[in-house]
Amino acid sequence: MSKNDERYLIQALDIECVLRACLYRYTRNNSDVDELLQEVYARVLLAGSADEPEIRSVRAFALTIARNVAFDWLRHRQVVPIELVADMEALEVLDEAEQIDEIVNSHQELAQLIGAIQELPERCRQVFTLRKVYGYSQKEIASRMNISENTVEQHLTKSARRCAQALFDQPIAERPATLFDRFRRRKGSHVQGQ
Amino acid sequence: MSKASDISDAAAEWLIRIEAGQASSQTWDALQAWMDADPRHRAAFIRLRVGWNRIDRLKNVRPVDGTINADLLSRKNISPAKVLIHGLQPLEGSPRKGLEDLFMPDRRRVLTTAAAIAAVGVFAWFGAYHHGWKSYETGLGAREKIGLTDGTTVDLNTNTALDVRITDSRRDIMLTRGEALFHVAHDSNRPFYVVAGGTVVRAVGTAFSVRIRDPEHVDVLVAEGRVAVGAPGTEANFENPSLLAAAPKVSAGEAANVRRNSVAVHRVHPKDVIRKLAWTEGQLAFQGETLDDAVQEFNRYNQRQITIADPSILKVQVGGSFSTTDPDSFIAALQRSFGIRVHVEERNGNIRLFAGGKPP
Repeated sequence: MSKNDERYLIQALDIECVLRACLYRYTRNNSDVDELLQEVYARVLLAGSADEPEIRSVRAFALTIARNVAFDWLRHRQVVPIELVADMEALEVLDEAEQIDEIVNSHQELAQLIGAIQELPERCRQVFTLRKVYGYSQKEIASRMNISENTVEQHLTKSARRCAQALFDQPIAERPATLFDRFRRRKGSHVQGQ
Repeated sequence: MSKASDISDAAAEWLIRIEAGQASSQTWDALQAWMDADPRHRAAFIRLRVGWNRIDRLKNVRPVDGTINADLLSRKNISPAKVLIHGLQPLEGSPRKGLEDLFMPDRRRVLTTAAAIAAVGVFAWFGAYHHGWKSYETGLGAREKIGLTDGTTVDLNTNTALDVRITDSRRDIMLTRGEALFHVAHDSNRPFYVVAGGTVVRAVGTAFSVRIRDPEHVDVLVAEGRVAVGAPGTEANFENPSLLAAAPKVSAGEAANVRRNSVAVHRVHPKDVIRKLAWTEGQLAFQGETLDDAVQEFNRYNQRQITIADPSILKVQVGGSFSTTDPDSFIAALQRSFGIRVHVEERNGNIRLFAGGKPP
């Protein structure tokens, strides 16, 4: 075991919101984003086990993969004029590189997490708290709250999904407006430049 | 082709089944088969697992009085806006009133340490100066960075307790268990002392870590500057820190292994200094360590303990970076790279490792 093949994926998780923003720009549809994101992660994971030189910027690498996955998807669909795609691609390199540095903020991550936990149904939140904060076993929680172990499992499954979403898919402040403005601004200057 | 949300659902169910700590070897094999079936499965599982382990930081909100409250994270008790500004419940201002205040599972260890310290006489010293001390501690798997009034910062590793007192003439730290990294603010008028078991370390302005393995076996690693180290049993001990002038010095890029009456200093490559301090980022980084050592490291951070059942794999050399609170990714890597077989005990979720090919 000279390398841990999950290392690229674990780093890529930290920019999930940027990857999603990138994919969204091509798909304009959140459920397609979910599909494509899994494909992106699968490819990032495979890169970690490949016998290649170490990748220096995993984030830039993951973004490139996201764009490739989105392109493949678009070609398959054949719904977007190719010049628009080229135009969008030029913008993304700048936009996303700028955003990457803005995301990693541990307090923000925690606040987001607490907010997400508070949106869970009450019982679900209580089960989660007993498990993750106090370290009770699933069995102990079941008997303490007088519910079945199966129900405990369901509550935890739900909270696990919600927490991963809160941790990795944090909204970037004013994301839609900012990107839209930048898009328009750059597009404008591009036209003037000609 | 399965849908994204179906894969996420399945991955979350696997995660919860496994994290209960009671999964049988068959369940682990079935999970492995599911992950091998499609790289998206494995990626989705890793994503959830990393998230699930990362939220162990929430343990820091646990009140120190040991009370249990299932509504601890409700809107009434904690506000995201405050967390955004202050982070999670800074350890500052959570003084220990007595052993009753300590979290149960840690108590036995604390008592053992206290007994050992009493045996070497620190207890009396500690008692006499208790006024003005402030206590900080972290639980299993937690870590915390604190800022002291003199500008020094201290990183506390898992299951660590220390007391701090800062006066006009000196700065004292009593490390009672665990491991801490000190970035000492330079102040030549106020020497900085760390007492760990019977060992005392003196600094002026440096960065160094101290780890208590047991009261008479302490490791010191210096990243910047130079410190003086007094071994237990020598004249330069906690009662006579002024005699440290003649004690052995440890400089940047060196580590000391301190035992009774001896300080063994050896060089450490700068890369290895960074690697040994990876815990400040929640990571364990191995490069050629034996499986035995790597397993012991993981066990410091987690309730679920790993044991090696086959002596033949004790000295296998391992490498790679892992999250301290994520033994599962370490185990998964062992399975993949060495074909090591895993048996999870149903009773407590502890993990036993066997050489490949052998039935558990």
